[in-house]
Amino acid sequence: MTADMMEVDTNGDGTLVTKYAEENAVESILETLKEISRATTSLDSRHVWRGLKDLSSIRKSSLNQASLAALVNILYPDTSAFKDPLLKYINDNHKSSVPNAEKLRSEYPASFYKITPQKTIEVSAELNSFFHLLVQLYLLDSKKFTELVTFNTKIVIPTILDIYNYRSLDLINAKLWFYIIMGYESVEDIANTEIRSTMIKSLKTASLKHDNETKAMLINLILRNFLADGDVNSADDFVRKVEFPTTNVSNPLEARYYFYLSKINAIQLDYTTASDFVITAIRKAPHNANSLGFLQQAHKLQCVIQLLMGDIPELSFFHQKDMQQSLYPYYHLTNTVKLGDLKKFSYIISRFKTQLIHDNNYQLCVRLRSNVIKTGIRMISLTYKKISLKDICLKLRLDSEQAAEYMVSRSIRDGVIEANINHEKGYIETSELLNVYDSNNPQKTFDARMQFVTQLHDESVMAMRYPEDNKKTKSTSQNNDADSADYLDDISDFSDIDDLGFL
Amino acid sequence: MSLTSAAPLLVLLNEKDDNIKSYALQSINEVIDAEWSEVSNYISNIEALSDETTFEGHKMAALVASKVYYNLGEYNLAVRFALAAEDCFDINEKSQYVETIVSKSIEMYIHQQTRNNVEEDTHIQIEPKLTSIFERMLEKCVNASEFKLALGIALEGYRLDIVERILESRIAEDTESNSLKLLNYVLTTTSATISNSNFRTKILKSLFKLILSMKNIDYFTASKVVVNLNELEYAVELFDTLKANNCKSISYQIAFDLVSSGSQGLLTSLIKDLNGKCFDPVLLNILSGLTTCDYYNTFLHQNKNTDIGLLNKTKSSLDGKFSLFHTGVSVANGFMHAGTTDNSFIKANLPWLGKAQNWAKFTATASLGVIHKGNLTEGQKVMSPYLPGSRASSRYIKGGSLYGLGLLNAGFGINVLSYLLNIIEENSGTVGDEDVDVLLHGASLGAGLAAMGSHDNYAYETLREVIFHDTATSGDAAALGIGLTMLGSGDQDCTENMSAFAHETNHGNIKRSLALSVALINYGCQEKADVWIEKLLDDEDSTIRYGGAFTIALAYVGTSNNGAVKKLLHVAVSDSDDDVRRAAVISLGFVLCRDYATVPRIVELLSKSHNAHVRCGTALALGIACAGRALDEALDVLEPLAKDPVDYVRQAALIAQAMITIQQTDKSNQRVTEINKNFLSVVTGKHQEALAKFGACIAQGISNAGGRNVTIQLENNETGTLDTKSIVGLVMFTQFWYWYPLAHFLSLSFTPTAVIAVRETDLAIPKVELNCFAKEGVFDYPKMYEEEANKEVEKVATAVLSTTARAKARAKKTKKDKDEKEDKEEKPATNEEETTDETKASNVDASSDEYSKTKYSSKPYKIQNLTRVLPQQSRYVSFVKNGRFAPVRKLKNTAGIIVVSDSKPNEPIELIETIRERNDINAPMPPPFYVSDEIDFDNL
Repeated sequence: MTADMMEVDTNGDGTLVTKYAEENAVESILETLKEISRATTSLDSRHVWRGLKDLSSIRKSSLNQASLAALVNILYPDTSAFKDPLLKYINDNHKSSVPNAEKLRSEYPASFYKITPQKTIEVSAELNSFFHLLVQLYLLDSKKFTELVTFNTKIVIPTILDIYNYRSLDLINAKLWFYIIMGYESVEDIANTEIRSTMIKSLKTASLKHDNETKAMLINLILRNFLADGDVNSADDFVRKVEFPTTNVSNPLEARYYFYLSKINAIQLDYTTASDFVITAIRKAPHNANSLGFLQQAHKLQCVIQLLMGDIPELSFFHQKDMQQSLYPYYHLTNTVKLGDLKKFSYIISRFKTQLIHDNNYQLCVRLRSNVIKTGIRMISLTYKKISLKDICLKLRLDSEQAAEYMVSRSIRDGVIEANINHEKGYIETSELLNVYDSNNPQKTFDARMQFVTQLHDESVMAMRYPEDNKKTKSTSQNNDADSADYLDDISDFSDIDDLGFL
Repeated sequence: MSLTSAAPLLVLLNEKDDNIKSYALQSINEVIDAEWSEVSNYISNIEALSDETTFEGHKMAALVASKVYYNLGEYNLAVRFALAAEDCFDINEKSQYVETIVSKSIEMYIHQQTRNNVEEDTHIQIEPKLTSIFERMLEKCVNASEFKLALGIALEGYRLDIVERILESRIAEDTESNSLKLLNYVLTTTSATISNSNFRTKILKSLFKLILSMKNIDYFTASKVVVNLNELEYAVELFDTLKANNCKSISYQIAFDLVSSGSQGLLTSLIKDLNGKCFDPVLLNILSGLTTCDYYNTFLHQNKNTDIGLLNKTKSSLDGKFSLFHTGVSVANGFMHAGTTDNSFIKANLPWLGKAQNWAKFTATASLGVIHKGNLTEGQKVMSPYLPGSRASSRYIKGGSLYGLGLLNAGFGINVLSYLLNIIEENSGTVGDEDVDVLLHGASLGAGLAAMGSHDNYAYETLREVIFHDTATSGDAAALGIGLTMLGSGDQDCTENMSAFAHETNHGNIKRSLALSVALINYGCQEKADVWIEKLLDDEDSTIRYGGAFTIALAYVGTSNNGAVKKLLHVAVSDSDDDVRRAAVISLGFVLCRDYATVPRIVELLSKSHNAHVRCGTALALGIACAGRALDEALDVLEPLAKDPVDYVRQAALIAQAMITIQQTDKSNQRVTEINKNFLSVVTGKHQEALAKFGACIAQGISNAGGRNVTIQLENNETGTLDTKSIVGLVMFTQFWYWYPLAHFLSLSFTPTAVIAVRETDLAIPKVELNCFAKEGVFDYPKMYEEEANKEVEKVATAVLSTTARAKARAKKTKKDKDEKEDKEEKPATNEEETTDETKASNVDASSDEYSKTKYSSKPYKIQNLTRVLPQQSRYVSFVKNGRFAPVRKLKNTAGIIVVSDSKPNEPIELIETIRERNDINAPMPPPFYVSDEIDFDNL
């Protein structure tokens, strides 16, 4: 990056010397800035959305110290209160200046600027916010995490997020918040309570202003913060009290919200709801390379929840594209549950412990133990018409006969097996298998499936957008880049990579 | 301090000691912003604490509860608890919470006040604390000099006392111009946004008093208030004050304004009242409308720019043997010459006129009335050859002439009313005879027009007599006549009668007319008409529901009332009858006519309806709401409708296009050329259905209406009041669906667009020049017109005519008669004109972003007095600075009749003779000349 660094210092004759590539970088950022400034005049947040779409390409090609520093020098007038702090963070406290900035600045469209109440010229709110976002990205990419955190707490929150009050900033603000939390996560300070209370306050502001995107983002981040803290009860409490916005929110945010809901519900033993939520989350998430991390995590959770509900995922579930690697431990886990082999189960749990902890699923997985036993009992009851509790105890390697009796009676209550326990003689006797079709069960299952399908249909209809007449539909081409082999491996669901097309 | 949980504090709430609880509440209050979700689980405990008045911390508990509810988004509860918190709730604190609570409590206050004021039987006791918050906020606004804000909120909260107080203190303290601005602000917001008519009247009355109490009375603002108020005593008071202060010229100007914007009922009673008080006869004359009509006739006659060639072309391509086409051409001719007093076309085409049969004859005769519209003094003389008792033999001519007489005197018809009513009375004994029926039909319509809005009881009774006979032809017209007479009275008895008749009669058209007359009677009545709207819309008879839709239209005209729009949209998509649906969609246009820019968006989906009647209604609704506005979005919606497969949809779309683009030149709107071309191609097209041809023919009439010197305006720009006559004209015009002669009613909607400066001393029109600060040619008639008033060439320049020329050329090729000479002259002119137009157009186009800027030019060009000034042009026009003539009133827009003062009254100046003066045998008053006393005759 530094190889063809632009000379930002003045030469003797005071001309600006830039290397070709850098000039291009500045140009490309400027193009995006122009797109965003159109939102200032047209009040149409679609322009901001388009500008944000350019982020990924800017980030890949043009985001470096030199171009940013040059842009700050040119874009921000000397009277601007933002100029010095920005330069400080971009240039590591080195000074820099660009001559002719005044002249270049005067060539920019008027919509780049606004006049403050103090009669000075300031960069417009939209551009300024966006520029801070760029700086966040730069600091993140160049691994200056501590600087990023201080930049966020000292500059972004007090001077940008708390000050500006424009609806057009909604999308940018959501991003800014995302990177603020990214900053904390990068320095391993995930469950910071201070930032949580700041976020809760900002959430109120956002909901008062109907900034739905920001509101949704904040809810997600707060939930994440609670979960990282292990404070599931508070998280649940919080979720019950806030209303997740349903309009004007991008799908990925919704997906993430459902993912967290699923997690909360799973931990609170409400597996059916959790399963519904995680399926919704997977369905709502975009299916491209950028969202892979999220999908992997969601699938893991889905797998665990399914196991906890007593279902065994299909084999094909583990052979989905790009998933094999990350679902590997869960594949083995499923196997043990399916076989009902308690010993193997303990082995698998201990073997993959670190990974499961990393996935935050360890707690849930440990709960599978009873499922394993249940499966074992089921296998036994299928095989034997009559068997003593002691044999069960031996077969399943349980501690005592009492434990076996307890497990069997629970399985009978849960409807896993149809049997009777003879307590005096200490054996169980499998009763005649009921014909399922005599019961209401098929009807219920059918009803549940129908409901799911109709709901899916309704949601799809509601999510549909009809193209307007005479107007060209926006090109929604996804940038299908960077599907290199690294991603196929395990990625955290909260990597900033997935923000490219995803957040 | 950053707690991760409020749980420890919450536990303290269960303690017995009050001090501990108080402490807990204090501490919770500090962390509530971050921990509200946890605290909210204990909300019932906290609420209970806040109810214990003996507990000293109950206020704090209320504050905490309020904050919890605020965070939960339950703002009403939050406000309730915030009020209960009393002094714990600090209104001056700068936080989001306080801001939100304050704004919500103002909302609540306004909501409750609205309910108190709007619903008669509800009376909510508003908490005094809420009131005090409201008042304190207003005080804050006033202290911060945000007067408009304070006034607006006070108006919304139905607090007339606060409005008055603010205005009084402003008048006392501030400069005159500033306080006037505020007064005007209140006036405009009152007329535009306050929907409750009682409250509106109250405000207007107090405004009137305030204005008159000022040191230098601004009479023009006062007159605006009077127009909005529409009450006699205030008008009288205004003129009394004017008389007392000896402001003759101002009173003239106000009289002219009243004539153009006030209701006829007000004017007639005002004249009666002032007559008793020996007011200046000149003033009374102005108020009678005679002078205004005379000026407009003169203007229209002098500047008429009618496209005779186009009309001839249309006439020749539509076979007069068919009564539909004959009617179409008669109506178009009427429109084109409306008010110009030029009946040359009829004179030149007597054989064509003779082709008319039955009702076509009726229409053709009535069109004379349209042509002479406003020619009050000469009117009866013009119509006399056709009136009953003349040598005219046909009953249709007699009836038509009576209708024409009504059209001629529409709105100013006191003089002919008795004559028309006499005819009705004489003949009402023999109803049923066909001769008499046609006669009565014409006479009833005429009487309705002449007595429009006068609420004349005698006229009402006479017309009612006709309905009692229950004959299709006469009863129909009599019902409409009653509607017109009682226009806007909101008379319950009358409405009751009408709806009772409607249920009794077996004639569909009488029923419809009666239902429509209910609509007319309830014009502008808003919520007072709701009872009738419900009754009519719930009726099982579709004809009566049809009237119900129009009742909404007229009762809520121009209010954009949400409820009305909703109701109409519901009817438009759900009624079982096509006619009712069409009526409902058309009515949308009336209700939204002030908010015309929203109409295209609202009706866009309806324009794609499978139901052709709904599409047809959409077109007309757009035409009505956007009349004269040249709104591009509206034209976008109309474009596909003009190519609709169904003939009557096309008809409506073409008419609507003409109404929207009236008076537009291709320089101000590029699409006009194309639209006009389309009219002609439909008229001449072989494969077009008759209905579409009829529509195109009328559309041509509209787009060239009044010799291209009139526009359709539903709202008076100066006073912001609705133009009742225009609206009634449009409503009746839309009835042409059932009865073609009613198409003539559109002439009521034509407003001349002129600048007419009259001298204050003798009300004569001096020949002066005005400045127009715009690029020459943007608004003008095409250039050739100014050099020589050659209509042929002029018509070429509007590009419609170039097609005519081409069509002519084609005709010539086949027939090879016609004089070639004229054509040769014409063609080069065409080309030249078109090229110049194109270059100009491209100039305008190049910077169309800043359209108004390109129009503006610092170097003015001169326009003459008594010439056309388009509505969009008026803001560029001004009097010559320090010139001889200066307007009595300073205004942004210079248009209409303007009284000017003459700085050199002794110098002679050429005057423009008005039509009346020309025709008056009792020679007009000579311009005053002065004989100075110093001349001593001895020395001569």
